[in-house]
Amino acid sequence: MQRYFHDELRQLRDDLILMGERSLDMTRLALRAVEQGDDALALQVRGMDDRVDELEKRVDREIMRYLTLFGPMGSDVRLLLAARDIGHDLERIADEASVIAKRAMVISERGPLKDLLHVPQEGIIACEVLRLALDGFIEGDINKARLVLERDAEIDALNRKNYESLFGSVGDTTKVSASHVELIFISKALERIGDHSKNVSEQVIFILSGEDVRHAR
Amino acid sequence: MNPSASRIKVQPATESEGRKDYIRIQDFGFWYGAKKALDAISLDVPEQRVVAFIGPSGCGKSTLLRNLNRMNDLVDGIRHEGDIQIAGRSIYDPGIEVISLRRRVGMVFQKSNPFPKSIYDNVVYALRIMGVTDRAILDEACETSLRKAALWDEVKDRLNDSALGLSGGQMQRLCIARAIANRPEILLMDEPCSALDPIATGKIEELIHELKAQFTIVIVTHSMQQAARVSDRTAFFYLGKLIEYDTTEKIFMNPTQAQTEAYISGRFG
Ligand SMILES: Nc1ncnc2c1ncn2[C@@H]1O[C@H](COP(=O)(O)OP(=O)(O)O)[C@@H](O)[C@H]1O
Ligand SMILES: [Mg+2]
Repeated sequence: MQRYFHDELRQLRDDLILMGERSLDMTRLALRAVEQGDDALALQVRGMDDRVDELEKRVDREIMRYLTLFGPMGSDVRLLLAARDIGHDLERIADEASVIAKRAMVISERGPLKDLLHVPQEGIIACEVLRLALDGFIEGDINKARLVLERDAEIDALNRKNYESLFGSVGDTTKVSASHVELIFISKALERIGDHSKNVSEQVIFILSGEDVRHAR
Repeated sequence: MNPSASRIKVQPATESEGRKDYIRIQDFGFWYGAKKALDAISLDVPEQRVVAFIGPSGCGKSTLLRNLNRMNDLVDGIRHEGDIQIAGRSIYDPGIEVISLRRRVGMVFQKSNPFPKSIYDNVVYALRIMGVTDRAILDEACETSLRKAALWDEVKDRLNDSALGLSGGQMQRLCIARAIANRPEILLMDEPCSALDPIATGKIEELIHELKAQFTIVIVTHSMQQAARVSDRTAFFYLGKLIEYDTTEKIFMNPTQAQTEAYISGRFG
C-alpha cells in the first residue's frame, strides 16, 4: 500500500538531487573560472553556495519530520539515515567548489597563468566521478556507486602528481610561484570533492543493499 | 504543571494557515455529577483540518469529543460551563436543535457498530429516518458515501448482504460511510482504529487524509504514532486539562511543555 506520506520521501530525494546537480554545476563553473581567469564567473559560483546551504537545512528538517511523524521502517530508515550524510557531503562539495572559485580569483589578480599543471585533467575526472555518484543515487544503480569507489583513486593520483611536479625535485623550487601554490589548493579541493563523491556512493550502497562499505580496504 | 491553560493559542503554521476556525471551544468545563472531567479548555479547530486529541486514559478526550455534538446530554447529572461554537454559533443556543446538530457533526466510534441489516440499509439509515423514500436518491447517496469511504469497490456487488459479514476494517469504513451519508460538516472519531490490524488501520488513515478535503475532523487516538501520521494539529490532555495544543509537527518534534515531551517520548509517569 502506497501511503500519502511516502510523497514526502520523494520530496526529500528530489531535494538531494537538486543539491547534487547544483554542487556539480558549481564545480564545473569554478574550474572554468580557473582556466579562463574569469572573475565574474568565480563570483557567480561563490554566490551559488547559499542556496545549497539552504537545501541542506531543508533536507535535515524533512528527515527529522519524517522520522518523528511517520514511523519509518526497513529501507525507508536506511534512506533517511543515508540522506542525512549525503546532504552533508553534497553541501561540502559546494563549499569546495566555492574554495576553487576563490583561489581562481587570487590567481587572476596576479596575472594569467600558463601552466595549470594537471588541474584541468583532475577537474574533468572529479566532475565525471561526481556525475557518476549522483547517477548512482538517482538511478539506484549500485554498480555506478561501486565504480565511484574505484575511480576516486584517479583523482588522488593526479593530486599527488600536481604536488610532485611543483615540490618533487629537491632543491629546485625556483619555478614555484605564489599562483602555483594556489593551484595546489585547488588540486586539494578537487581531491576532497572526490572523497565526498565516494562518501555519497558508500551511502547509496547502504541504501540499496544495507551493506556498510565505509573504511573498507 | 501548566497554568490553567485558559487560552493556548496556536500560531498559524504552514498547514493551517488562512483557514477559518470551524470549532471554537472557550473556557469549557464539564462535570459528571460532582466529578469535574474537563477544566477550562480553550481550543480552536480549523476547517478542513484534522485535529488529534491525545493523552493518557481518563484524561477527558472522549468527554470533550462527545460534547462537540452534545452526545453527553444523554448522561444524567452532567453540567458544563463555557461555550462551544460551530461555524460561529453556540451549540447551546436555544435555537439549535440537537438532532440537527448531530447530523452536522457525525460520529464514528471505537467499536464499529453496524446495524444487523444489509450494507445498503446501514448507509441510508439516517436518510430514511429523515423521511427520504425516493429510491434513486437513496441509491445515489449509498454509492457516493461508500465511494468516499473507500469501500465501494469492495462491496458494490453485495450491497444487500448483511453488514455483519464484513471484516472489522470494512465495518469501520461502513460506519464512516453511514456518517458521511448524512452530509455532515464535522466528523468526530473516537479511537476508530483501536480494534483494527495495521493494514485496515492504514486504510482508515488514508481515508482520513482524503476526507479532510471535505470535512473538519477531530480524532481521539491512544496511538501517538497515529496522531502524528494523520493530524495537522494535536492537543495533549492530562487530568481534564489541556496541557498543550499546537501543530502536530511542533507537538511531536519540539513541544513546549515538559509534560508533553514526557508523554510523547514514553517517559510519562
Ligand atoms: N458517563 C460517565 N459518568 C461518569 N464519569 C465518566 C463518564 N464518562 C467518563 N467519565 C469520567 O470522566 C473522565 C474522563 O473520561 P474520558 O473522557 O472517557 O477519558 P478518555 O477518553 O481520555 O480516556 C474519567 O475520569 C472517567 O472516569
Ligand atoms: Mg476515550
